Amino acid sequence: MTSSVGQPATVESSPLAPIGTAERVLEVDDLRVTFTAGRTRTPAVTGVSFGVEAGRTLGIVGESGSGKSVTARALMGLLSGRFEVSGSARLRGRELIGLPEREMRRHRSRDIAMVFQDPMRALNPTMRVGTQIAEAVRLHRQTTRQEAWKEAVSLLAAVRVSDPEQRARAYPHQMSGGMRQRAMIAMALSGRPAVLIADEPTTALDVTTQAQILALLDDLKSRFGMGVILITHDMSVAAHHTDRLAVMYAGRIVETGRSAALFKRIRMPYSDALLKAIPTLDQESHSPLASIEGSPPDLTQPRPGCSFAPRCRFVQERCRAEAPSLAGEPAGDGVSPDADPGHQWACWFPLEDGS
Amino acid sequence: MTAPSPQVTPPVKASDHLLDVRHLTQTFKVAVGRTEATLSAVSDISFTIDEGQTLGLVGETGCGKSTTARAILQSPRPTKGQVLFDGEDLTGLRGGPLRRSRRKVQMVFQDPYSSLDPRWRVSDLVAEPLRINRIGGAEDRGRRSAELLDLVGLDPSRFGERKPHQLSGGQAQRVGIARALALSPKLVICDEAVSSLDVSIQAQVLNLLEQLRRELRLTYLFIAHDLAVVKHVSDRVGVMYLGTICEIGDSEEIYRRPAHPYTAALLAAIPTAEATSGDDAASIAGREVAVAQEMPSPLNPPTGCRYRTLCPKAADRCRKEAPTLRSVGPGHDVACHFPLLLAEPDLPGRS
Repeated sequence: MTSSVGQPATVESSPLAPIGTAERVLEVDDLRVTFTAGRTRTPAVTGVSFGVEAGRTLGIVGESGSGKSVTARALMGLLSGRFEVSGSARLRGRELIGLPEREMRRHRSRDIAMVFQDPMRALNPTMRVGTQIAEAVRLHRQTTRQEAWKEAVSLLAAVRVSDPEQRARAYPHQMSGGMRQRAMIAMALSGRPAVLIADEPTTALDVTTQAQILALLDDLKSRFGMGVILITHDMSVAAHHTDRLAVMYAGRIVETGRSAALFKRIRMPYSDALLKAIPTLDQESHSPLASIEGSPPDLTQPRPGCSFAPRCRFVQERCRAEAPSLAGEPAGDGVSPDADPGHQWACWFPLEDGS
Repeated sequence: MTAPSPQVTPPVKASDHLLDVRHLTQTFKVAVGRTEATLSAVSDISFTIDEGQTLGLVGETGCGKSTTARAILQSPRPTKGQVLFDGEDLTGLRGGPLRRSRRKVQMVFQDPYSSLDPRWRVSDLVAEPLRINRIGGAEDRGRRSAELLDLVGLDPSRFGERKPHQLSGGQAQRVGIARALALSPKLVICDEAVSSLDVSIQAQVLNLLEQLRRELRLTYLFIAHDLAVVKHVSDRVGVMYLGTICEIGDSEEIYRRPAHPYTAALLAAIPTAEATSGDDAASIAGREVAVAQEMPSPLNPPTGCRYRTLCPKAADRCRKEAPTLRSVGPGHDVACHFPLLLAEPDLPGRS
């Protein structure tokens, strides 16, 4: 566990507290998820640890199969059956892992809520959006239907939906993708959660709508004092909308730290490759992209060494033999003053100048 | 679908371009309650692509990009306008001649899995277009299929026998590209061909498309909503909004000096990796959160300029008069009464 952001403060809630004193609302320690199908056991998440602070965003970045969504679902208690979850996730001190479904249901959306990639699949097509949000409100509080409806309208206003009274009466299919995602966020806010998990909330949206939704999440985390976990495959989204970052590969965190410092000096070759694979506007047309050759490893066939080794440009013998663990710069090594002491990476041969 | 207009088609002037789309319009009749309404999906658009070039077409969901692609393929036929491909007007062709011309235009789709029959082996999927068009014997087709797999970077001995579910997303899209190349097309239409892929795989597939373009002298119409991806592959870029082209020109020029307010808005919305995270809460507090704005419905598009309801520069004239494309620089046309030309645009990524 990193301890760069100072001691967790004992303040109940501090939405706009300066850096270093924000309350840690969620503490995840050595989370492991194993998926069993027949005789195959897949370690989907292996030893993941991180903290989420009130009013801040933790970004979890990685590609399909990196374990980022499984991590989120494990925290929400949405994995059962063939998934085996171990480790610890304490939400304001209360352990979530291993809770029976009945108890987890009380926490879900009141303490920890989630917004998914595809709002159309999460909304009921036969119900007015306002009714669905009001129903969510009534799950947490005993109020009259009218009161809950009023609350639904004000939640829609909080997520910057214009004409919220009128929009509340609309059915999901009458809304655009961006509007539906706002409605989902409104529903997630109905229980005033301490932690909001947004799993690729903008991946299905157009670029202008994406920018609006991300700006909205930034705004809400401050106004509601929530900790946000933003799950994305897009390093450029993470660069702009997170305070801390955890890059995942093959079920493990391979680099983590304060986003601003991390992007200034990326150490893990995978994070660097992920960033460079994105086409940018300042590249010339038809110039080759720095792609990552090969594909992510098959987790059902564990191999020794670093899981990124087969695709890494800087691979050496040690990488294939021995798996590096997450660690930072050894102390007293001429660390520059603006370096982030919590910056850690899992690499035997970290990049020197971030490029 | 409405029938093509009955009037006599005027004689078509020959074109120097491989693809010359003229005044293309596509409308659909849709039921709204009990009445029938006309949905204007594409409204009077014109553009050309030269051999060996890539034209990027960008715009948001519902802007008419994919409808344009399908109208080029005559599936369904456009309501109005002409599609001159390789010297022939596809809108005037029927039956055999249309099928023969259409072989030279192939498409790569967004979702690689849903465009591949899950029960077929990869080698048969790649050979299918040859079989349908009765080209070569079974043996020739097998040989050609292996060649094509090789071309897209899949070892035929490893992948030929697999079924689609045994492929990763990137591999499945390579199979989709191999299928599109089976009939040796001149023009390949990529409709969001890399949009559903992970960034590392997206980069691989984009590099492959570039390599194929050079080696096979292909011409691309590259449709995508991601402006950075489009810039990467395109010589020229057209920006679509609600069924119209609002700006078209050389890609460097469009991105450096967007003249249409909509293009500028799209560019400003791109997050860039260069600018590092806002200094935590400080930058966020100062950031204004826009109220959600919605694109108007194509059932009832605004009068005059279609972008005027969202445009910060909209004036009275924009309501009354639809702007047409006019030149604002060499190879750079814009449809706006008040184009942004004076100021260097704000480049995205400023902190």
